[in-house]
Amino acid sequence: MASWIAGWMAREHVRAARTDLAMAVVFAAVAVFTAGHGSAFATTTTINFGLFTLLTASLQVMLGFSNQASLTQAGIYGIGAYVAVYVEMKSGVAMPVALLASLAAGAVAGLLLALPLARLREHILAMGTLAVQVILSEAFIHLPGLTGGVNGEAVPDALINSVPVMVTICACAAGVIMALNHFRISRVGRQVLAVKADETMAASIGINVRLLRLVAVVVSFAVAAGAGCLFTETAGFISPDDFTLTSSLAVLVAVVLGGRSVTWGTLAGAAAYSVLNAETTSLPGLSDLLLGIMLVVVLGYLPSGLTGITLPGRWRR
Amino acid sequence: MRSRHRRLVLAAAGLTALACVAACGSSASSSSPASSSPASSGGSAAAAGKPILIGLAAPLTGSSPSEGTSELAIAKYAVSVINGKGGIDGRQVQLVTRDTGGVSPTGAVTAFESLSSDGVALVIGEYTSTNFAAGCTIAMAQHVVLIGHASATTGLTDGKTYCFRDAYQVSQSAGAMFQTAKAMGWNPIAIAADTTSFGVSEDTEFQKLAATYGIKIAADVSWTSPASSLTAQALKLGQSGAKAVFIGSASGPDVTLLSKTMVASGVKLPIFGPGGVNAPGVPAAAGSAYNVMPGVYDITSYDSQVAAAQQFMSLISKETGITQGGENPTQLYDAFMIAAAGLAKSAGQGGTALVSALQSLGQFPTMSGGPGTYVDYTPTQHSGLFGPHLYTIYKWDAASSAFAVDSALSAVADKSAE
Amino acid sequence: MNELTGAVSSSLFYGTALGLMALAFTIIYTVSQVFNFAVGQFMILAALLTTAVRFTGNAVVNDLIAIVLVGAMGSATYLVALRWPETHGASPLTLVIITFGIGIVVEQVAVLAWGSYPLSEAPVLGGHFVLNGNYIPYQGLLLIAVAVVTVTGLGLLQRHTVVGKQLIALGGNRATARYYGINDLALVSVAWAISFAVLAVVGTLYLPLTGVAITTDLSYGVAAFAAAVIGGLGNPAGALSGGIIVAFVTNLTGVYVNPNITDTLTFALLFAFLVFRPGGLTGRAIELLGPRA
Repeated sequence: MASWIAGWMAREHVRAARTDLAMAVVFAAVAVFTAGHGSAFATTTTINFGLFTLLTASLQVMLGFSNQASLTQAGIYGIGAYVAVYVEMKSGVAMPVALLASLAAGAVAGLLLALPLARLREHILAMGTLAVQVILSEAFIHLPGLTGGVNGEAVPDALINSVPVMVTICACAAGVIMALNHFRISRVGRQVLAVKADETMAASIGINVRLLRLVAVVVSFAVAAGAGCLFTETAGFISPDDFTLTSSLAVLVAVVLGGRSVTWGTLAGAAAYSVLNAETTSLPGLSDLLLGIMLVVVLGYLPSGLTGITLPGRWRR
Repeated sequence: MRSRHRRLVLAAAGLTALACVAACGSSASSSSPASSSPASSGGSAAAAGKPILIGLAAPLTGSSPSEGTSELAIAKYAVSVINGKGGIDGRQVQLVTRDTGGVSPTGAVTAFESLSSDGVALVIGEYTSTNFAAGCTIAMAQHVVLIGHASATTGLTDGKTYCFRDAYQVSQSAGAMFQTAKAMGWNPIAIAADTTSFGVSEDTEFQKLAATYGIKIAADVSWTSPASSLTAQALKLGQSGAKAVFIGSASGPDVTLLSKTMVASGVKLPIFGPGGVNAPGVPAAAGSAYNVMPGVYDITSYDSQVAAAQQFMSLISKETGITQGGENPTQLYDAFMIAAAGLAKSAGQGGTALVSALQSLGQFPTMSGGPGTYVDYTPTQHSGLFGPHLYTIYKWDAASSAFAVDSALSAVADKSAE
Repeated sequence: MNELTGAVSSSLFYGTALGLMALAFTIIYTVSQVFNFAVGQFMILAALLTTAVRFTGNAVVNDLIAIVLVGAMGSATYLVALRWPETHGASPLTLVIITFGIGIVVEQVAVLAWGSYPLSEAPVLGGHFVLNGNYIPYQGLLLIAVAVVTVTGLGLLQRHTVVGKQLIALGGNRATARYYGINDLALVSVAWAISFAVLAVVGTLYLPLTGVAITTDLSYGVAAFAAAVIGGLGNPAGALSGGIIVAFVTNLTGVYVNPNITDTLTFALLFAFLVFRPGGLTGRAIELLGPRA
């Protein structure tokens, strides 16, 4: 029995390495193509896509691994962004320090949120996170001392349309997805997935369900907040309009579109949503209409998302 | 973790770290300036005959799609007028539009950047002050001229050489409102504003100027737009002892809801505001409430009864189907005329050539009157569509269920500028 | 005294509207385990059908036509967009996202068809009486009457008819219910029709008091979700009381404490309920809690 498991794990590691390579190649290709294209618009589009992929990955940690739906990602993204701006403005520190501050802020937010909502599951949990997102949106507007209020904050020394930043963001997105992939096949990751498959059974074999669910939330929020810090580096300007419930819904849509696969699902979902959401026509309102129609059609016929159907109890790449 | 794992994870982390260091080390000037795109700079002989591109950044989707649609229509009409007169330097003008997606500054920035990479000579937009501020940041970074036609917050263009505005200043209309309030004996007043950037800037201006005019503020209520219930706000206004309510909201649905709620709650106060009180659709939607309120006043720089205004409206309504006049259509139309004048002087070039050209423009016959590109309304410089008054105050007439110009009050409001 | 009367009467009307929306929400949740994200959009669509598309000259007939049409749209939405994925392994979350997509479609179609300016809807019952300086509209009283009848009727249906019991059984375990021969296709379609018809009732009866604008769809929708959860999912009376509670708490706090926090307050209230009493007032959602690990 043990040798079967060992053999299986070895194959999983090989598969994971292959996926890592594929991810690296995909993101490298995107970065190279964008840099080659040279226009500011292409760079911005790639940056926005990379950031959105990071957000999708963050939700994948909570939803894909731990079956906890979250409508708070945009709010946490905002917390990361505002913390980064605050830290940089007050103490003029360099970006890596601000990034650490944002990650910490996200982790703390995860702790604060996960504990009161620990008992909730599925739909009710989603409602709880919706409530938090709305409260955060209101807080961003009504606390001008901390966030600049509805007029937002200009980001000092932002590197707008910077190709190196675009490359960094692509690298981070690739790195996070690879990390998720390796987490999935690690011991802790397998425990998390066991909890997702059957909570009672997992508890009965001694897995600390509460801790693992908490860890999923903390990691998810840390990633989202870190993405927020990266966002401020590129945006030049942040405001509460960037961190609304609608933005959170977009991330959720991307994860659901993407499907079960942790790596390709994240990428495919983020890409699919970005494409659907792009300005496809010059007629006003038609782009949004198309987005709505495509959501219904794609999920209607591929209800398990773009990366396919899985049987319950098995987890796929 | 197994050692193969560890190596891979460390490698990924290392790559990321390296990339971060590389990014932090680079300077901020790595953005690609607009001069790299085909049509904007030039000055070369190859430019002759090629169309001049003017970009429009409008909210075609999102929370103000009707605004975006009418802006697009006006823009197309303005371009057709310019081309009808022979274009600029014999070259035809072509309109390029990008959607800002509503009120998010990120959308404004993306729209601006896509227009810039489309090779436009300049960009005209954005619909809100926040978007305009964001647009200014990008305009400065990319060296592309931006003309703002709707943003009214003071100081937005200070120090930003590539940014121009042809909208009147909020602080002046707020002052005019207080001048009127003084004359009407409305002291104290209450403020009702939403939490969009327009509402917040109105609220800030009201708070700032009240003391100057000796008027107290009895209550300041706000709400998140769009609202589904404004009962608490309406009742607070009634409780406050205020004699009138200044409305700082441009949202038609919100003002409709507030008016109906005030009437239903027996809050008998006149309302007064720039924008929302006479927003498109509001007179029809809130008319029944307006008919029983003790006074509904709209303040604007646009006088719909002036012959030039009526002519302009009949022209554009034929071409564009837009029936409601106001500052936005005229100021947007102006922005295009100003751009055309500037481009004629800069031989179709954008960038620094256009900046100097625009800065050198003196007084010229715009539809809204006023000198050059930064329209600064003063008692003597406001001829054209804006009638005999600097500020025109419209009062709701219940008998005809419509707004009508109140000349006496308008004269009072004008005194605030002296 | 004036303020209290005003706050109470407004809260009664707004709370009833929210409660009915919450009811529509909870019907679909009970039967399909789906959160209908498009409640706001369809509610306003009904009002737009009455107002912008005047089928006849009579307000009552227009309202009834709108209710029937929107109800039919409910069944159509289920049959066309949700039936296939539901029976082919879609998770409830996927179905929620599909309703979200449908909501976007409805909103955009409404904007394309009728613009986004506010409209005024004619009430079925005009006029009002005055109480302590407040205008109490007869239309509002009609809304409350219809709401009480609807909730009572649905409760009776649920407890005393075969159809009602079958609907509850469907919500419990779809596969088992089908095994017992319950025609889930027909029943679920009917449930969706009823739910959407209730939304149309809100749109046609409540929105004359406030004005009609498609841009407010998410504001109403999200408030309705909060009301549904606070009241307790799965219980019609719970839904209505959830709406009343949300309306009263936010309005009274707004009037006597601070009106600028009313939006935050609704969600703080929701959050508090979820932390301390996730089943809501009537405690039905307990099965959605995990083990007390």
